[in-house]
Amino acid sequence: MSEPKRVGRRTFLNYAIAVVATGVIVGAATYFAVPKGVTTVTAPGTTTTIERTVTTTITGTPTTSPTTSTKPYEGVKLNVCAQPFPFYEAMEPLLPKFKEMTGIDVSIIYYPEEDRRAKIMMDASTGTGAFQVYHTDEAITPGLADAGLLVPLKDYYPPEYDIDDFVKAYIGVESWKGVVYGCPFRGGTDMLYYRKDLFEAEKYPVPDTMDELREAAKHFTRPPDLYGIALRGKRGFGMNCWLWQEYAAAFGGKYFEDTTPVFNSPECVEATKFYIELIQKYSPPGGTTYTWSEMLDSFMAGKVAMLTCDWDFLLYVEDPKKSVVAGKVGYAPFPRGPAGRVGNCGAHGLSISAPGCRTEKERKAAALFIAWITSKEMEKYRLTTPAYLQIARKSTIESPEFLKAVGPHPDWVKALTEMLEVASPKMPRMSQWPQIGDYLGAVLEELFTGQRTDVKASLDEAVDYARKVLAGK
Amino acid sequence: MTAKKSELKYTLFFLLPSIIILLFLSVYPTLEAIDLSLHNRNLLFPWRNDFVGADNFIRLLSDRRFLNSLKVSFTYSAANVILSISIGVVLALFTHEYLKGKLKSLLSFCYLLPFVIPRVSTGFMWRLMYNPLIGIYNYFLRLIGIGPIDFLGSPNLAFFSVVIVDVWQWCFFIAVLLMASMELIPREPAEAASLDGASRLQVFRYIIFPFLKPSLVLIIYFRFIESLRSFDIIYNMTRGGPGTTLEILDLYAYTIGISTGQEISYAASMSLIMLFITIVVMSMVSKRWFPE
Repeated sequence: MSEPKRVGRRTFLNYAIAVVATGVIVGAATYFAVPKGVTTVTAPGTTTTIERTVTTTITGTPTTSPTTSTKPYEGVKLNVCAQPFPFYEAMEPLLPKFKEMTGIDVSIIYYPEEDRRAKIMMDASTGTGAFQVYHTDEAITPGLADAGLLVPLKDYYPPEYDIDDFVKAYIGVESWKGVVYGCPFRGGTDMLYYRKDLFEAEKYPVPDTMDELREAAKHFTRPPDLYGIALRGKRGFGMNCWLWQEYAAAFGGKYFEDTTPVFNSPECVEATKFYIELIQKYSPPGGTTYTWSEMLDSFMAGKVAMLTCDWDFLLYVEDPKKSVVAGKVGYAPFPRGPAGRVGNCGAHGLSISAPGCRTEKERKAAALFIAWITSKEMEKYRLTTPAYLQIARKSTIESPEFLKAVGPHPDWVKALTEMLEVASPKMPRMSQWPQIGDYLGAVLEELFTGQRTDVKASLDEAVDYARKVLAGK
Repeated sequence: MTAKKSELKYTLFFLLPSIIILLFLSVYPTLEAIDLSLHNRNLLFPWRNDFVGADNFIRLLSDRRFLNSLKVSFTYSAANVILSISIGVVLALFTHEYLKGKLKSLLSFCYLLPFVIPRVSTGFMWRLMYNPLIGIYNYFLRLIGIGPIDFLGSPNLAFFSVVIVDVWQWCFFIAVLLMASMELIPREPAEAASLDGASRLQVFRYIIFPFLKPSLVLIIYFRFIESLRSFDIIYNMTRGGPGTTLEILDLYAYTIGISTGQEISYAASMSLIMLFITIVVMSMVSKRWFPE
């Protein structure tokens, strides 16, 4: 005699919770089960492209020795010490696919630029080896390579990925004493960004020389809504030292004559005075201590009329989601100084850590990962993503797909071509540079903020310090 | 006699674990640091490890940035101690005297809030609020027609801007600590004194203050030591800048030993000087305040 069950309020509630919970679980499962790399690509037909690209790249690799299984690196785990860049945003969704093909489990750990450099220095020099792959750049490659903390890449690099295709200047940055230690994924030079809408509205000519730059900065400084120019002020061997040196070079100065520090030359003093004038008079408040990202933010917020900055910041300033000036920016080569047109050149790349990869298997796996992520196919793929400027191969830059990806910015392409002809690495390539640069950076920041006023004496002091550091080695 | 002996044995037995832990975690690292400071270890040249005697310490004496960082460390800590404790005392007195019941406990709870925010987040939060273009303070200043003021960029302001953050984080917590001690003060002496015509200030000076003294000394103690290592806030707000205005000793040792230079021995000798000075200051303070 079973009584018909009455659905009480409580039971009903339980059922309801169960239904909702099931819904959530199924929903979440579907979300996570679908590979993100495929879902995030919206362009029709791209999905298949990724699948094909990854497959061909991996299976076409002879490092897969025929005697072993198809996954020669099963169980190898690679930690990458990296810095947030569109490059990683584009590539991270493909990592599960890479793991499926090779068995290599890659995880990318991000730090801001200065922390990333410090973290890598610590990890490598103490022999901790928590990271197998380092995100290296012009600032830290020489020091690490000199101390034997990076693995020469060519010993492990699968030759069919064509290492000679990279832009020479970029791979030069990732080399030390003729040995290649890393594959660049981003490189470039600096150029002038200006607010085309403002310049055109007033028919103001685009500055081509340093004097014109100063005049234009003065002209467009209308506080509190608009300031003429934003520069790097924050101390740091890769921060204010980077841009300052480009101005110094335009005036004819340089850091070192062979291994003798000469950055107190009359040309450098002249350039520093010029830089101080720009940063103190025509920069936004706080501009004397800007990092490059703060400089970029103020430009994207429409508060600044001009920037002299990296070529690939086009990615940010033309992104309508982040930048109110998207579509209103013009591009020109870095202004000429008394010493003519100069350009700084830097590169970011990936290198194998010697303390991180102790076994041959790990080193080969790391090299395969680096080769794959910087391969021609992956660069072609990146042209279809927001990371379309983070490429470093000649074949990609010369390809029609690149011009298409850049879009309607012929002035940018023109400026880039012109700059790549004159660009060369300006950052001293010596292992003591970070320490010397940090000192010089602090001195420069003190000059910018007005704590010091005697330019010549300040630079003399920094040169003295550099001599001491160099002699101590 | 035998009882005493066995007692000693037991005492030793029970102390042994903590002695061992102390040896490993405190004495050994200190000895290692002393050893490090007498060599010329440089992490970029791991094979080099020569004994150099007192070279590192001699070099410190002529290092402009080291002397500057010593000065910054101590002015920073002194400003911190003085400001946070005086504001804390005023806050505690006010809350204790004028507020009662629910309102008081609610306020005490609110006082604890700044203290529980992680210091790294505090640094970022305040840096954003100080921002000359998008920060909240400059927004209000603009409304009344002042500014924009670059709180962290101008050398004279930056120091106080950062000190204020540190004080903001600690003064409320100190107020709570002091309120707890004030609860224990008997009311009668103060009441008797005011009946006899003592002024507010006199009551505080001769009755409340002596009661608070032990906890105040303790607070000064750890507040001083705590602000000597304000690496987290300073690093996240200005990286020691502008220039070297806020480069405290910790930050300089980190720069020279880890982030840019890799002169780990030189950095170790700095830390030792710091340790030495802290010990001296602490023993001076305890001699002055706790003569027994």
